Amino acid sequence: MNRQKNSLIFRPFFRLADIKKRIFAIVLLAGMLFSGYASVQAQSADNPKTHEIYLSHHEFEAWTFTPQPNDWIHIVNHSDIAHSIYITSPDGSITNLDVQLPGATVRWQVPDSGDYTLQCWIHPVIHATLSVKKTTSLSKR
Amino acid sequence: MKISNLTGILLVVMTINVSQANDLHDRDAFKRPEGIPSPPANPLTVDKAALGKTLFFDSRLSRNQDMSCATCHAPDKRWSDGRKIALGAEEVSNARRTPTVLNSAWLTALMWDGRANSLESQAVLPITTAHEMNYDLTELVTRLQKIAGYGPLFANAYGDDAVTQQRITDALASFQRTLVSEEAPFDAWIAGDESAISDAAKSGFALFNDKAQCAACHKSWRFTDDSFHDIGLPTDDLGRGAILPVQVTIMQHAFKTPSLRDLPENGPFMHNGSMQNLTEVIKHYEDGGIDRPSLSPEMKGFELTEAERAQLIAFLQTLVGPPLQIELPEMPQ
Repeated sequence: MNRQKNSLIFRPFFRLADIKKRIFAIVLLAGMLFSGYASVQAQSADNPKTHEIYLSHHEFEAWTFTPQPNDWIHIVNHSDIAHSIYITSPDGSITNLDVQLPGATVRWQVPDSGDYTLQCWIHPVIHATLSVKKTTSLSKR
Repeated sequence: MKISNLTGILLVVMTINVSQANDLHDRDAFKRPEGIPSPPANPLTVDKAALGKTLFFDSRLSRNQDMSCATCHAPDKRWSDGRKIALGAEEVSNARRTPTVLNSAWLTALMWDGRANSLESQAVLPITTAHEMNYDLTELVTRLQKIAGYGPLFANAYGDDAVTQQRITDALASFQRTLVSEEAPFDAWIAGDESAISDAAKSGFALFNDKAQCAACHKSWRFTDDSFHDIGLPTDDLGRGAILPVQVTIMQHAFKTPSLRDLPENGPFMHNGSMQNLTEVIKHYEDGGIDRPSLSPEMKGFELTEAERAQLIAFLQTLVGPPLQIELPEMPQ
């Protein structure tokens, strides 16, 4: 047993057969990783994600996500007053999300990448920019 | 001592502490700010404010040289005019009351419909509006250039004596930023002086925040949310709705929430000066206003007793400080 162990320990590290095995393993692992990533990207495009933004009394609470086109934004009114959010697209067009009572959620699907301005008709002081970016896909397509 | 008794005492102490913490938190929300804000493009300076003060009181800013900014924003009228609708607006449909310019340094939307977003852009409007000063800014620059006494004032403010439209509006905005309400009894109470306001006023403050829900819109030390609401008054005036797409139903008949500081005793109140006393105003909110699609969701209606109405008014009166008095400027020749 001991002798066998020692022979393993002292075996030359850069034997040709081992190098081939290691390269094969690395290529296989990379292939698995990239195919998995591509699969995730494809899934995101087909099944858009949902992100939540919270409204307090007179501001949006900070968020950290970056949505992609087709994702859904849910704006949740955490305050005890009504709001009326509208979104100005990069081309200047306006999407009106109507009056949102306390506790209510309004939904909006991001049409494309770009910077969108979120404001409230009732409270002009409520103002934020939502950046939408297409993630670079590693898909083979 | 039994454990149950000890638990009971602990609960009472904890409740008192929580109550005090809430009370202190509420008071912090109404604390006066330390300084006066100004935009980076037009920092507040003493010399600019001095020039602005002279311009503010100078009737030569109007075409006929008979109306200055101070004609409608008079120091002895709490920097408004005490009139139901503005002077010269009698023939104007949907004319509105003159708002005070006190505490305007903190405003993010100006005019009753919010069509100006800074004091600098607002300053142009009364000078050029036909039923107000009815003048032209290019002609005004030429007129002021001919008044030698303005040279040193512009030079002190800007480094040279050139008169420009932007310098005029920047100076007017700077002066208006210095017009801040004097400290009122309410401020002393917020700062910790329990005897500064009466028990009735304290009860009124509680009603203001809770039962009457006034604080839903009348927030912060200025008692406004700088926002727009249809409070259900009978009016044809579309307010902010007139300058927004017609699809924005909620902004029809909506007007900016006015500050509640330094309210004149006998009004007039509301955007159209339609009410003359605070009891009438409070009863309007109790009724909930005209039910229409644009009515603010915050207009929920409630019921107060006669005594509660008196307490609410007692509280509002604690927001009135001494009049802000200034030394009138000498007019340059």
